[in-house]
Order: sequence, then structure tokens, then C-alpha cells
Amino acid sequence: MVSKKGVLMQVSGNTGVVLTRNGQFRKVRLIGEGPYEVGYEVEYQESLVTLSTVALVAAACLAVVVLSWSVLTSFRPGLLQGRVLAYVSVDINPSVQLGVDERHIVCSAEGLNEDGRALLAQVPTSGRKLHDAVLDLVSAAVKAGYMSHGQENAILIASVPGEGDSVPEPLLANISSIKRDVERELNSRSISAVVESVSGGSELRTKARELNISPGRMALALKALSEGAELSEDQVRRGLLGQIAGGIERLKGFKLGDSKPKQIDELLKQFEGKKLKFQSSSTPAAEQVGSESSDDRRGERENLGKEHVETHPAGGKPSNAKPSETKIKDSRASDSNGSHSQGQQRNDEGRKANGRGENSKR
Amino acid sequence: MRISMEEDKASVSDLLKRAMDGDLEARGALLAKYKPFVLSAVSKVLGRFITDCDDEVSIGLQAFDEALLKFRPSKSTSFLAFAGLVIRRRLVDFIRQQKQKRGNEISLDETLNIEDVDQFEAVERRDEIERFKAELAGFGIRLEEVAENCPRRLDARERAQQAARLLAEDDSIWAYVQRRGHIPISRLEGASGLHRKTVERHRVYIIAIALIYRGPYFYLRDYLEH
Repeated sequence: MVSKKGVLMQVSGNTGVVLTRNGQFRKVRLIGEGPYEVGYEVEYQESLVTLSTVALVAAACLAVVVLSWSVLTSFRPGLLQGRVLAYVSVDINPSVQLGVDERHIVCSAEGLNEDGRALLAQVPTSGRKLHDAVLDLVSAAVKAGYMSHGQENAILIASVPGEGDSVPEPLLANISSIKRDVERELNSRSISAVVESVSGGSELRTKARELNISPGRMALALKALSEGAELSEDQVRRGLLGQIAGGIERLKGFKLGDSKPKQIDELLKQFEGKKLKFQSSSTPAAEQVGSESSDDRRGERENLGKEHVETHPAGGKPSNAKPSETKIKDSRASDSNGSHSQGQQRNDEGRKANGRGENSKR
Repeated sequence: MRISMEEDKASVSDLLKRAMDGDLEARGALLAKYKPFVLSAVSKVLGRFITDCDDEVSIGLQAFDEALLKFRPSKSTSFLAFAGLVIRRRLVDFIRQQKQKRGNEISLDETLNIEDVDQFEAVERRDEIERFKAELAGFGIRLEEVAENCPRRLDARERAQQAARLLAEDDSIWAYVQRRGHIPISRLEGASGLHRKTVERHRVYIIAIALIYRGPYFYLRDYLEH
């Protein structure tokens, strides 16, 4: 405990109010020899808390409990895990989904694509604060080259309730502060990025899980669809966020964070009756399960590249035309312009993973 | 009575050094700057209100000047306390002379040791603190409340101090504070670019510090400056 000095302003017994040179008024415990006189410079102890032996013992016990708790939770995340309050997905393009408990501590983590899993292997998340986990994930993604200066970067942080109808307010507040810190972090590395957050209700959770898409992408796609865009399943699964929105500028314009969870769920219902594009073509993806040989993958990548390009003509606006052979040929030419090729590569890797039908509830 | 703290921090020690080296300009500047202090010190010894015409004021100014020449900087002693003590001694000498009508100069060459100065400073400060507490009470603020509302983080504290400085240095804003007992947040916000919340959250602290900046609290101010 550090002792410091200040002018004694008021005294009663061995506690008093001091004014320090740096302008702090503090209620403190006085040390050194009394009697204490107002006006003199006195020494005081940092903390006013009278740490009697009993309190010390209590503090020690508490420390042991806290320590063992954190050790247990960090090594065996499942052991003391409470119920999952909400799932928070982070789409950079590595996509991950974190389950958090009521203390906003990460209690489950899953990669929603290959890159996401690779990222999670590098960054410890379980047992940590959501805030720290997300910031570390973003930093690691930058280090791994998923985001860089001069690129059109986007991050979408989405939350859906674990149980119940909506994500509790404190968590939403936490997420918006995380969002700000992510922006700050990227700024400090002079990487420009659109960072958006969105929150959905239980409907979104169920549907996203069913399709094994991150809730963020799902919500974004719904928003885009509701504005008249047409999207293929691949786009929704693997397209760059900006492309799903129909341009990075439009992604900002969607103001996803402002939409109420109910709105997203409403949108979902609205589209329920109609056949969502990305729903109808979900079968091929499911068939990918098990096709792990490298040959298959190569084939798959090539294939994907075409599809991908088809949906993004040079301008990045969503194509109004339905996928067709001719379209694919057309756009292959535009592929040679190479504007999106980097994004494609990365997105492709996620494909196989998505087909697997992961389930985070372990 | 108003003393700009910014300016003070940067220049007082510099001026002092120059004055001690015999720089007349610096000496003049310090005299001008601390005239309110000298007046307050003199009036305190005499126990009555004084004006510039009183002989005692020139005794006080001479004493201050003498202090400038004699002060030897050390870590623990503040110049202000030293000067205050010299002023008091000279005045007491002067009063004695007046009474006895004979040259009694015993204390003139008396050396002032550090304990004297420190004790003098503490006693002066105690007076100031009592007055300060009374003035705070006028705003309905207790000292404990100031301690409870004091921003812990350095940057937050500096922002609040900046706000306090603005309050103390702007006569019209200060008049408002005194009349209404609270801070005109929108005016302060406009003048300083400080966030409204900063001002609201640290209202009590800002008032307390502004009082110290503005009021006749030479020794408290002096303590904060170094």
C-alpha cells in the first residue's frame, strides 16, 4: 500500500480529507504520528478501507474462490458454464460465433467457416470477456491479412438470444461499445472498415442455425432482399458483406443496428412463405459433407468462383438476373478484371466447412 | 484576485529564478502578480481592511521584494510561504517601531529557518481551508462530497480542472455561478468544448477547484501548482 502526501483539509480520528498536489480531494486513512492538524501536509494510505485481519482473511478466501473459478472455467469451459444468454457472431470473413453467459463471458465458440475455425485455434476465447475476445479476434484477423489498408473491409457483429425472445439490453450496450472499440482499433492501424452490429430475435436464431449461416449474414441478407436485391445462397454464405448489401456504402446505409430484433424477425416471416433463393439451393451444399479429397476441393473452388462472380458484376451491385449458364459465362470475362478475386479466394475456403452442419451446442 | 493557473505553472518558477539572479523585469512582474497576495498578507497581520495608500502596503511590498532576494529554493519550502513570513516579520517590526519610536531592528537579520516557514505556511493554509470550507458550504457542498465526487483518473481530473479554470477566469460566468449556485453548463460547454457530461458528473469538484483558483487561497493554490 503506497503512502502519499496531501494537505489535511479536515480530520476526524485517523481519517480525514486531503488535497493532493495534483488536485485530488480524497477521503483517506492517515498514517504516521498524530495529532493531525488541518493545514499541514500529511501522509496517508491509498485506501480508506480498514483491512482488519478478518477482512484480509475474507479477501484471501475470495481470491482463492475467484482464482479457482477462473482456472476451472478457462480449462474446462463447459464445467461451470451457465446457460447461454446469447450468441454473438462476428463476420469478418472468418466467421465465428461466440456463446456468452449472463456475465458476458464467452462460454462457447465455434467457427462458422474454415477461416473462422482457424482463427479460433489461434485466439483463446473461452472464459474471457466478450469484449476482449472480439477485439483479439479482430486483431488476429488483421494480422492474418483478412483485413488490410486500402481494402473494402467490413465487420458485422450480430447477436441473437440463447433463450427467450430478444437479446438483453446490457449485452446490446456492451456490443455497441465493442463495436466502437473495434473501430478505434482498426483506425489506429489505419484500416478503414465498416463495422456494423445487428440484433435479432429467436426466429433469426432458429433460422440461421437451421441454415448454418451466421445470424449476421442472415439478417444482412434479409435486409438486402427486402430492398429488392436478389441473392444466391452462395452469396449469402460466402459473399463479402459489402457485396451482399450491394456495395459497401449501402451496408452503412442499412443501419442494421437501428433495426429492432422484432423487425428482423418480421422480415424473416415475410420471406418465409416465398422461397428464399438461398434456401432453395441449400441442398448442394449439404452434399458437400464428406467430400474432403483435395481433388474435390479444387473442383469445388473453381465452381464456386464462377458462381461467385456471376452474382457480382463489376459494379458490385446485386444482379437482378437469375443464375443461368449465360450469365456465368458473361461474368467470367469480368472476373479477369480481378476486382473481387481476392475476396473470392478467401470465401471459397469457407465453403466446405459450411456444408458440414456444425452445431455449437456441445 | 484572478490568477491564471496555466500561465503560473509555466512562468512563476522561471520568473523567480530570474528575479533571484537580479533580473529587474522579472522582479517587477512577480511583484505585480503577487500584489493581491501581499495585500492579503498585510491586511491579515493588521487585522483590518487596507488600501494601496496605507504605509503598511509599501512595507509589505518591500518585504516581498526582500524575500525575492533572500529566498533560497529548496524542495520542501515554497516561496510564497517564505514571502508571507517575511512580510509578517517586517510588518511586526514596523508596528513595534511605530509604538516604541525607537529603532528596534533585532529581527531584521534574524534568519528564517525552514521549520519556521513550514509552520507559518501550515497555519496560513489552515486559515484558508476554514474559509474555503465556509465558502463551499455557501454552495451547499461539504468537503466529504468533494472527496466523493473527485475524478480519480488523471485525464478526467485535468478536464474538470480546465472547466474550473474557465469558471474562475470568466467574470460573467462566475457571477452566474455565485448567484445561482450551479454551473451554466451550456455556456461552459460552448466556451471550452468540454462535454456536458464531464461537467455534470464532476459539478461539485469543478466548483471546489474553481473556488480555489478564484478565491483568496494563495497557499492552497500554491500547493496545487507545484
